[in-house]
Amino acid sequence: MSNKAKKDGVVVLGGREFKRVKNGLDEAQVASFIDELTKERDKLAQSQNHIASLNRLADWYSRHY
Amino acid sequence: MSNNAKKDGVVVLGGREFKRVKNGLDEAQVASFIDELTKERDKLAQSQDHIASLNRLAEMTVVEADKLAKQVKTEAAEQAKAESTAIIDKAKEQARQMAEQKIAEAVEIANEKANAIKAKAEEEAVLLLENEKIKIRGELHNLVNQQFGYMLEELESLKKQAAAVQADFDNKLSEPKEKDSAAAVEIAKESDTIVTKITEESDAIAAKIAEERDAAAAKIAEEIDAAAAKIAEESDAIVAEEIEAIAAKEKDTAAAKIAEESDATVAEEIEAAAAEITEERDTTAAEEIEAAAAEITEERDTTAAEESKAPDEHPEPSQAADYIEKSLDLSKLLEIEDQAELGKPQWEVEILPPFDIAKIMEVVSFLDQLPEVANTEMIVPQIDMPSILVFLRESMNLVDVLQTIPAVAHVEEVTTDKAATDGEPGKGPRKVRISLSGNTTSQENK
Repeated sequence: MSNKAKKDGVVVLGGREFKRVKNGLDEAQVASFIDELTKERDKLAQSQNHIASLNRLADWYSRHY
Repeated sequence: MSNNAKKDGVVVLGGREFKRVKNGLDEAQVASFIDELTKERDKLAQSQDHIASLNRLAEMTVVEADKLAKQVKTEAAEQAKAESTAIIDKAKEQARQMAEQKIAEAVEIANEKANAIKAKAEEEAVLLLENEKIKIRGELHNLVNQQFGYMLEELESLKKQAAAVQADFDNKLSEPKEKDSAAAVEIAKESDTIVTKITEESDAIAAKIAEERDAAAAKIAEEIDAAAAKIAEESDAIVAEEIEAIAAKEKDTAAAKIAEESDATVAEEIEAAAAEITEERDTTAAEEIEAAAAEITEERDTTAAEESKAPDEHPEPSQAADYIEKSLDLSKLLEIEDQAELGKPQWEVEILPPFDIAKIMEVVSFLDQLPEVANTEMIVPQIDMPSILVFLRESMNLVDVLQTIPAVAHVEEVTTDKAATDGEPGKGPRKVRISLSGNTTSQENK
């Protein structure tokens, strides 16, 4: 996950911009959690794609045989 | 998403505690993003759970379909056996009736032929008898005439001898002349007596000849009758033998013909019945399998439709974790590590026909389990052959690996103008073509 300090007062985590405020949340903890959630989501999305591919294969197979 | 301020300086977002710090991130923005990510994850997890359920349902249905197919097959075999037995019995009965009818017809034909032959033989026997009678009569007539001629000649000879004696006596009598007239008279008397006697004897001989001729004629007539009777008897015996031989021959021919026709009929009926039973069994099995497949498809579509219609309600994080746990089987199969840097595939595996979906799945599963493989993706074109894209985590020679998979019969790397890239940016994947082992069965079954 790419975190970039775009400019002073703004932080980018998981492709989203976050403002810095006076009494805000710990950046390291937030970054870690967002990274975790993103990984889980991507893993599930890949599984979904894999299943969709298999489904297409099954349809193709049933059409041809 | 539940956000609780547990205590001063600590905020809970998505079940995780975050410290408050000086110059930290805006809580509202962070909460919104975490909520967004959690919803997406939970939605995908729910979908996975549905798919896992469908997978289990499909497996159960396949097992049930197998059981049903076996049951149908067993029942069809029993039914076929019973029907074939009934058909054979029926055919045997028909053959028996046909045989009886044919034998009766053959006997009738044989009798007709025998009667015709008998009538013809009788006619020929009568003609033969008549000819024999005429022939024997002619011969007999000739014989009698010949004998009669001989006897007449004898008689004429005797008469000549008597005349000679008479003339001699007359000469001798004229020479002494009246010497002894008494003696002459006596001699004349004796001469007359001798002539009379000769005449009588001649008549007696003639009568005797006539009598013998009649007796011979009667005897010959009796012999002719006896011969005719014997000929008629022999003719009847010959006719009877011939009739029996013809009847036996006709019967054998008819029996052979009936047996041949019966065998052909029985074989044809059994073959037709077997074909009918096989067709019925195939149709039934196909219908059962189609019904099961339709049921699975319907359930899958229904589930998918429900899923797409469902509102954006997401379970709590703990429920989401349960879903993930439940779909463990599927996740294991499709386990994919975090691949933020997957990029382009390093290999493309083309699968040559004929295809076997189970073998293809075996290849994909094998590749997914390799530590060097980050991910695989199945490409299914509309017309062309399917292929598997392989994303590598580490460099490896896929050709060697593919050759170790039991489901793969043949591996061939396709050399193109492009150089081997191992995922180099801007260049295509290395291509490999494989054919599957022992994959004729599934295709033939289709």
